[in-house]
Amino acid sequence: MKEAIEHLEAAARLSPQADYVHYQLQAAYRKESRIADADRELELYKQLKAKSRERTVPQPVERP
Amino acid sequence: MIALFSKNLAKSILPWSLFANLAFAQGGHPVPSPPPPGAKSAKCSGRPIPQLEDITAKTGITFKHTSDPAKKYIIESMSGGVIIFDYDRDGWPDIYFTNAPSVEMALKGQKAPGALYHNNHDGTFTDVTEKSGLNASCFAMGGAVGDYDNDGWPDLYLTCLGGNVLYHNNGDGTFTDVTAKAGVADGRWSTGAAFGDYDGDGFLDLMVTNYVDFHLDDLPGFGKSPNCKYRGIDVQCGPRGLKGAGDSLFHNNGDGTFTDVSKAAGVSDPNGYYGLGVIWADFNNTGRPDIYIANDSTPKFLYKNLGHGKFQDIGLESGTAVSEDGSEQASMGIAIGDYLHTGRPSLYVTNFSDENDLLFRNDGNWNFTDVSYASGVALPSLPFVKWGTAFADLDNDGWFDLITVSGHVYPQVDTLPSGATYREPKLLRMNQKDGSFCNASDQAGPALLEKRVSRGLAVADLFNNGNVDVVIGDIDGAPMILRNHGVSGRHWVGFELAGTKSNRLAIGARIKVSAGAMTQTDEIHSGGSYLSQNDLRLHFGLGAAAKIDRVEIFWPSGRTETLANLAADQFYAVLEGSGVVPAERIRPATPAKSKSAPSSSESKKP
Repeated sequence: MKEAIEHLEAAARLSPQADYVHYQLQAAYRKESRIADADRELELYKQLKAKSRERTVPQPVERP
Repeated sequence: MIALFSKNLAKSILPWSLFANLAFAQGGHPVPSPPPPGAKSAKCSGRPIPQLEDITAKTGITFKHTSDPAKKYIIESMSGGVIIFDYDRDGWPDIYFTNAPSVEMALKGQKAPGALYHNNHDGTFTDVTEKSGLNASCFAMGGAVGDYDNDGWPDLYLTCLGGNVLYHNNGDGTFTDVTAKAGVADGRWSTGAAFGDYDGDGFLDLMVTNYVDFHLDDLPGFGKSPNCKYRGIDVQCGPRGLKGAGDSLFHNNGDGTFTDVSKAAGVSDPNGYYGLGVIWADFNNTGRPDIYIANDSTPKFLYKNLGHGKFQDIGLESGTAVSEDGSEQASMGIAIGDYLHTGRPSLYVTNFSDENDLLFRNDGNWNFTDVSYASGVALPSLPFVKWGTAFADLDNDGWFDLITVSGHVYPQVDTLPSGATYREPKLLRMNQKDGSFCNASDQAGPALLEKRVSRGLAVADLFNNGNVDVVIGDIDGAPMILRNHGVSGRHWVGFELAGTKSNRLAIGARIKVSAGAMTQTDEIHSGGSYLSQNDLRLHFGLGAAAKIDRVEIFWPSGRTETLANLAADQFYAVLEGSGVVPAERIRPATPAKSKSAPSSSESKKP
């Protein structure tokens, strides 16, 4: 798991806007009981996900 | 194998993830991530596969789900629940199929009633809908079973568009609509439902999921916006682009009425995620049931029961809200089972096509790991739109297998030059006892290969012969009754529980069975699958063990009861605090009891 965390931390540095990297990193931290780090990454994931939703917000459906 | 898989996954995250979370290239459907490098699925070999025979034509079941072939509206694609329950407590599982009219029919005031079939104990069923009073139909989706008044007769809750229905079982083969008095109509477009006693007062509470804010007098136009397209063709709209509807938790007041406590409990879903499957389960062996909800196109909820009537959504923290790569899926159905013999229930969730089904392994202490690809269940699921599902030991080897049904939502996909088809086959995965599953979908007989448009799925030993059978509800017509011919020479045991301090149907009770070298655990659940209800009796395959060394029952009241040295290949009735008793003692005595009833020790070897 430690090696996986190193790869994921590198990925987060290279692609800080990639929400999925932060999700995986928080999951890895959580498995290592690094809860504060996990919560920080989860918060980043949520923020990026919210921004992503705003960008791809589905257009309302038309009524006939 | 799984650890190695995780390491490889981390190494390859950047190229793999480049595909994730891009534009909505399929109309309302985002482009899903491709399978991770090295993803594999093994075909089963060198083991007997139980044959699942379609016996529908021989059963006397003639029910057909009402259907509009065009499916212009999302509401027409979502029904098809299967409710298995022994409504007359004669010891043989009966079946209720939900039904819904087309929008055109509903606008004309026409109904489409569901159907209740009584098990005749000889492989056939009789339609008893008219006598039962279950023919005053709503626009039904699914339902759940629970004995809300603890009178011993299982009651039926149906989820519907525009008002759900709670039917009180009168114990004489009839039901009475008690929704108004009970206060559990909800009134939105409800889909999933499940009973569970979250506060341990001995009365079953009720969780209801709602899907989309949908009204027959304000219909979304077919193909009218980007969210009403799929791979370039016009299709029904939704759920994306439509408003969600929130969820409901009804607390049972113990007097035949319920109170809506959704907001105070923290489970009202204020963001309006698109709720479908729901189930209560004690995920961390706290003695208090938690709630899991499969949401379509939005993160799933895992509501941890904090006690004192409060819940906290820990879906993301626990790893059960999204897939391993952080993607949200269009989730439909839920199966729960201790497929690894760890004593902890894991989760299986069905998803839309191009999205793999999810297997969340319960690692304890509220931590789950997405082992979908590592376990081999993901890859075979990718092509299909999956719905009803169950963990069931179909070959009685003592390990949960997985069965899942499929069927697309858009009939129009058949006009596409390649790729998806509207009718789809079913999936059967057998447990390899090492955390992985092999694919036996094409080895269990022709029924699983027949392409259908299936939705609900429920399991039960319909014929009390020691093999778990499968009932499937289709959206476009007849259901499918699959008789499991099992694997000869393997043993089993069944338990029918009755609570005294706990709720009468013992929903939420956990049973641990030790036989031979195996210890298995299972829990009695209301609801689950996709809008369906499994038999409330618990079934355990025992492999070669002809004797059960020890049985521990963890009742919802907190009491633990231990049984020892039970013979295999029979059903046992257990009354809380009294151990094994004749079945007559746990079944209520009323006019319906005058029918022939097998005793608890009546059994047949498979």
